[in-house]
Amino acid sequence: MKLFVMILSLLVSPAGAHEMTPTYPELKWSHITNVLTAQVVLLNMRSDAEYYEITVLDEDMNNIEFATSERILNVPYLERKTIDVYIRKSDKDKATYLCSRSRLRPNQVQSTGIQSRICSKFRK
Amino acid sequence: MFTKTIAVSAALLVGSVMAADVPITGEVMSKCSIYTDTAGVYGNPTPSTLSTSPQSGGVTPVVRYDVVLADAYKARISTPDGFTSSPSLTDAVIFTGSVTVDKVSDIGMSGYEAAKVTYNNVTEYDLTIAGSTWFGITSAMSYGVDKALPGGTYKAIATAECIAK
Repeated sequence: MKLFVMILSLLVSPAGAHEMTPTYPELKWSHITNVLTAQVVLLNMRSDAEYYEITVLDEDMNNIEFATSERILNVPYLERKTIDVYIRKSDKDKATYLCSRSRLRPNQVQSTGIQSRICSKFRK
Repeated sequence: MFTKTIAVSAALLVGSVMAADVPITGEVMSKCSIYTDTAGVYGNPTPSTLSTSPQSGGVTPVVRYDVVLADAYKARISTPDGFTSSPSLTDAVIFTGSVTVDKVSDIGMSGYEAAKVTYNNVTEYDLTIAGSTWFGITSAMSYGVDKALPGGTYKAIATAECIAK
């Protein structure tokens, strides 16, 4: 009986994690004039999510323009990806959060899926 | 005797070369991890309602937040306010939901539930203590005035956010 409950709980629980480090990334001068850059590392331990969207937000959670290699990244299960974002010098004071959000495919969502978002805060 | 001494010395020398150190390093960085501990399932207790409550035949989704640094993050959890996919619905759909602390890894986190802030379909918790916290997300919906839901698959998404302070 105990074994049955354990197997059932494993089947019902697709445990996995979305993780982003560091908590407070630093904005540094990039090799481009008047452009700053910051770096975070994203780890995908969610078997049900393989795409993550990157955003840069102000303190009220409004979007700020930024550049990166891919806004929606493919991060395979159990893989880690280093993300570099670039923002204009004029946006330095406004830019507050660097966020990654899991993007779920409709066929990956069970009855109620869970979307995860982690926001690191720029060190100022 | 001399030959034996040379043999032992040689064995020691060879041994010292073979016994290589295998370093294991680890780094604990300040971070937040969101674990999807349990995926939710809607139960259909009456023809016009769906609910993730176990009493209604559903499964409550559970998310776990792991924070390494105390007082660095807040958890913001939103219950669904619409379906991401469903059969065509022609009448009013009303969603309700709640979030509660399910389990904690530190006794000091017992105050999280009393200190939570709720607005619209969003619940916020201040993660003031390092460790793991499990949150249960209950979602329910009703259709029209006791109108039977059309047959089909209903899917909704709850959002779990971890925001640095």
